[in-house]
Amino acid sequence: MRPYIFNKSNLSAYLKQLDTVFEVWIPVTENGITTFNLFNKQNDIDLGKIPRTSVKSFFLPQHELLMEYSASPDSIQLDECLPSKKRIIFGVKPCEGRAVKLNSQLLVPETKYQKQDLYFKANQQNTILIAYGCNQPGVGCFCRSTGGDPFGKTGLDAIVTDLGDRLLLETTGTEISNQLIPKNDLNEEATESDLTAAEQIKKNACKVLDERSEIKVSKENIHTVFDLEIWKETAMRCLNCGICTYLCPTCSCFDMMDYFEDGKGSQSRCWDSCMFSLFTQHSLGHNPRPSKKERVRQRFLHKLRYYPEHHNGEISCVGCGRCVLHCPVNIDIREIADRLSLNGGERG
Amino acid sequence: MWQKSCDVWFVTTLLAADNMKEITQAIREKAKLLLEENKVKGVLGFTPGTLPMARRPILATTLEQAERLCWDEFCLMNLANFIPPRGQERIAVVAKGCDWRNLIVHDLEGRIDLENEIEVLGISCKGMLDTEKINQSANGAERVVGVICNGDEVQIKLVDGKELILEKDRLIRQACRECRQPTPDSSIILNNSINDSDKQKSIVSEHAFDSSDFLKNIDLLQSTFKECLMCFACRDACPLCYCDSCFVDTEKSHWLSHSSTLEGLLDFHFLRAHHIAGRCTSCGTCESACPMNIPVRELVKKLNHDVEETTGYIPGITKDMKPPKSIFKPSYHEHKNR
Ligand code: SF4
Ligand code: SF4
Ligand code: SF4
Ligand code: SF4
Repeated sequence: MRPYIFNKSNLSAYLKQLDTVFEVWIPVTENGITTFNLFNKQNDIDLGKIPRTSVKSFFLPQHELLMEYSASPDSIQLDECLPSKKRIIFGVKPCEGRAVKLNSQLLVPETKYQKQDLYFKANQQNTILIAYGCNQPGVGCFCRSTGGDPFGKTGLDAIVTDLGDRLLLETTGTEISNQLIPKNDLNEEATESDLTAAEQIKKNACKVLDERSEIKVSKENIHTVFDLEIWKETAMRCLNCGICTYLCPTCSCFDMMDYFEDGKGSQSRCWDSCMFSLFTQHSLGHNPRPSKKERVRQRFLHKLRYYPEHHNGEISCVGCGRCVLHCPVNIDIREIADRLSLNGGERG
Repeated sequence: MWQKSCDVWFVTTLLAADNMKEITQAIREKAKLLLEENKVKGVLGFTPGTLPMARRPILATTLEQAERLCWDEFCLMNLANFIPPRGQERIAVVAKGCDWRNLIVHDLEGRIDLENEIEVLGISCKGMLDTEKINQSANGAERVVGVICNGDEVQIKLVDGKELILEKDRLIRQACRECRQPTPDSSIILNNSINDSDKQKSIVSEHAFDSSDFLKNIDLLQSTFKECLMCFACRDACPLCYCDSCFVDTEKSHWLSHSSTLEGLLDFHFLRAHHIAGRCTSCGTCESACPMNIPVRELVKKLNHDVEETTGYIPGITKDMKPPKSIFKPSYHEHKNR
């Protein structure tokens, strides 16, 4: 199918078309921070920036109510609270689509012996992703080194390429992507020269990234010896806060919470982080990851070595750069991967 | 090859650090001397990182590491937070005014032995820059490829090759504007002291939560904290939050829900504010660490002011009395109401 093209000034007309069928979310900057907000007339869409919190919030929200129940001695009533609202997230980064796929491999496995996370699955079925390709990769970006692409389509329903004054919209062929085709006077197919222009933009973006680093991070190349100098050094300054894991689109750990009062109760979950000491605290007092060193090491080895071992070699980092840009003490996963690499790195 | 690109990043950041060459040089020399003479096990300071404005805390234990220490307007973290508790080998620490004040608080509270175990290399500080403001002017943190401070100007290089020139004064962190002691009282000060005689007054009028009945301000509270992720970086970056078992991390009993519901957020921020009331030096590290640009200090400002009014204690400046929180008696209230 040929991509569609429309003037940038018609973007909100297009969003309005989508808005008649779905709930539409767009990146909006408020108080200097870009996050996804509901589309309405008041807020200005802010494309191109890397939203501070990732699209993970739609698949695995910081706080998610799982079930509510009321119980009496002879009966119990349960409401599963499964999400059902269909929504479009417009303007995600292409790497975030990959992140959803990586999380889905973990949380909604397809082998019959593993349980599926029904909430993540429902969110996935209800959420449509339209990405805005990255003409100009940011300083923290390294998607090409992790197996991604600044215009990659994995996990997305459509992707927009910015041609300056016009936007090129490509659907990816997912079941629902037919419904994203612009209607009426916005329905115009791209010409050959539009496609060439888009190709050039993609090439340039890839070139920027490839010049920064030719390396593809792979599990075979990651040193797993536990006692390396690098872990001591990194742990010395790591705060063990939740920034890197909470902003990361592929980190998916959560904690469960139960409330019960006067015959009514609920169960919900919220984000948790391997950087927190409580994360591995056993109820009898033992903590297998007792200090910052073990926790820092876990974050990187999980992403670069353990996850790929279980998922066809794909590392669980999509190179979005959020943790790189926002770590208060500059712990940089690119540098860690480099220092851990068996050829060329300093091996700790 | 990653290494190669890392080196490139390091070079750009070193350039940025160059504008305070003399201080950087003084730190390096002093650090090398202390290490060579075996006076300290290490020197806690900053070293350039992989991004233009990233300065990372480092405990330099070798001469080579000491040669990489640096100083400029991006040394945002409070180094008191990285000092191991008392009973360790002597170390030196590079300290601006607020780091110094937190060292004093630690010493009064008995966490460290400032006199015997720590050598303070004081820096008279003109204020650190608000990196979030720079990111916003650049239209995104990911667009800043270089930052060079030139006198009163800050020159920002963007990813598209363009450049921005900003007035430095407008980029100073809010906490630094309110600073009450830019120069440590330590015996060693590595640069020319700036005059801070007019700084000692309290700038209490600027706190957002004017009524001590916080709940009256529920709308303001909600709008201030609604984007909080409960990542706890504000706590983790704060030198005061050194408790082995923080209320955030206790499982039995479960004090705090980690959910970003309004109740969860307010529980966290209220409890933390009360734990640091009358101890907070307003150093602003919590705000610099926060990924969501939340004015974390606002809640505690009012509490701090109350403690100061009631007891005369100013965290990190008062040295001759025990911290009010460790000797609190209800009679303080009577004293105030009299
Ligand atoms: S690596 Fe950085 S962001 Fe992550 S826990 Fe440590 S200090 Fe926080
Ligand atoms: S580890 Fe960092 S760079 Fe990789 S996906 Fe997560 S936030 Fe992005
Ligand atoms: S609460 Fe914030 S301003 Fe106060 S001492 Fe801690 S980090 Fe500094
Ligand atoms: S650092 Fe910011 S986002 Fe994180 S818990 Fe503190 S106020 Fe909330």
